[in-house]
Amino acid sequence: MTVQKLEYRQLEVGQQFPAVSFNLDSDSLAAYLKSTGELDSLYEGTGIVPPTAVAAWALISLLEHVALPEGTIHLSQELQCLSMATEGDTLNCRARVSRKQERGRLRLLDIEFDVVGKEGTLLISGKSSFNFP
Amino acid sequence: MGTKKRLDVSSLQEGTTLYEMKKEVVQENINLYAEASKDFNPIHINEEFARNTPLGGTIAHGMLILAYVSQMMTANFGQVWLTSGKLNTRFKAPARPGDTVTISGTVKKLETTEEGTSVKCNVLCQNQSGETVISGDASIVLSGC
Repeated sequence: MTVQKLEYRQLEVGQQFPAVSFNLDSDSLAAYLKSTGELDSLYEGTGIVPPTAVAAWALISLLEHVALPEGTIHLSQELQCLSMATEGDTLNCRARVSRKQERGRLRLLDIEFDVVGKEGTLLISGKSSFNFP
Repeated sequence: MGTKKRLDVSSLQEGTTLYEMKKEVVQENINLYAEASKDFNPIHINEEFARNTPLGGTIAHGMLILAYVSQMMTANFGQVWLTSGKLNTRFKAPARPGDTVTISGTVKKLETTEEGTSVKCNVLCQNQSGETVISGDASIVLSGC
């Protein structure tokens, strides 16, 4: 299915993105741990998923709904870890535009997101800020 | 695999330095991260494309370098980071293949809250030239303290 990507001009503060869900499969987790060189014993054979992995997958899923033209800059990132995600979980992510501001040549956009796990447990909250060209 | 000794949280005080971490930024890991995160923006993985942009070459994903900051916090505080950690960071400069980044942190404030002791830290990621790649704040809550 082709997702219609929204341009910056089409986004409004308060706008909700369609919820997305994704599965934390073992192959993706292993690939993530390898790519980041994560060697902490917390992740050895426990199936615990690093919070930044959850955030990265949530963000990339959400950005399927937003057109990011060349030159878009990821300015800042907030992350709050509330509970641990584990391999095999299916997570749901909800997100909304929390700020849109044009200031001179800056075209700023903040997206806030929440990632929930089984039984609606909130796992991660975050806010990503971008500057559009 | 393995973990270095965690920070002794019983002796934390304002000014305590966290164990730092060094990471080599290599294109192979950036490519792996693109696969793992499904972020295939060509600025990260297509050297020919990236050479012709103002950045002049590929750069690491910001979220990859942010993962290093989270790793440093995990290495220092263990599981408590995964259940009470907060991170508020700004991406200041790109990290490029060939860079060595150092992730460090300092306790700036200890506060007693209803949930426990809140430990607020400055966190910093710098490249080998001392240029700041990421800066910001991180905090955890030590319950029962």
